Amino acid sequence: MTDFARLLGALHEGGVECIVVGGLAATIHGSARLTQDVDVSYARSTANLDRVVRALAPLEPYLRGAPPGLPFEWSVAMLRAGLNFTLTTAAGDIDLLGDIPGGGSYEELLPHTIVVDLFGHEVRCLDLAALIRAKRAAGRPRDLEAIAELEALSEERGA
Amino acid sequence: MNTIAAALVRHARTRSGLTQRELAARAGTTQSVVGRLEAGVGSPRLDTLERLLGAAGFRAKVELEPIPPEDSVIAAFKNDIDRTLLRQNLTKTPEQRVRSLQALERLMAEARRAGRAARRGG
Repeated sequence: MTDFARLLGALHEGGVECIVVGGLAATIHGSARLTQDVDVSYARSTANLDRVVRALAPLEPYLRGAPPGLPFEWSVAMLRAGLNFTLTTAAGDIDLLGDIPGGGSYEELLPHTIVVDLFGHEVRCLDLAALIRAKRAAGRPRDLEAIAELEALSEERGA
Repeated sequence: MNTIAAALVRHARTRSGLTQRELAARAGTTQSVVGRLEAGVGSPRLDTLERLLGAAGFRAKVELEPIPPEDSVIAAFKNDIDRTLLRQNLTKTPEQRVRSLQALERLMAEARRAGRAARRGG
């Protein structure tokens, strides 16, 4: 089970430059749909990769779905070698996204974010319009219902 | 407009490593104007926004993006959405919404555990 407060707290206390996207961002905006992981877009600077590694290391991240015992090294070098990572940790599942379809990199998403107070932390979250654009761009059939709900939320807010 | 302008100015300023006061001085305005704008208070004029971004060393690029046509599948899903639940959620704070999600996660985990136990017992 994902401990949202613990994961978000680890990222915030570690000073990680990241933006909550995906299902948790939808929840923050008022979605009633369930989500079981934390998706974040993260800055790819070396300094931030170092922060990500330090912040999540105590939670023992590992590649989600991979068989146990792989020679997996949680390090800046490993993060630099990839872009998007689906991980499982002691506090639940987290996806680290260097790039999201329809949204791009952390820097490109940054102007389309809001800051919300969660569990005593200032958490940066993708705004509703950008979240809808990203889900539309992803083009996954399973997102269609989520897009409908996000659009309904947008209408309700404007109502 | 005001939240987009706020995010743009804050992003441009922090990327330039400027304080609100330094940016204001460069743009020939006051810190309180920058502070209010970054807080999303009021709607700045376009020339004010351009001046502040320029003072931070940036230029805004505005593009027209076509509004995608209504997708019939999404429209059908939208008709089926329980908006009372959404309206209820919108009365909550973001933290209350995430806490509700966490509570549901716990409930689901417990249901899965009970299911496994029942199967073992059967």
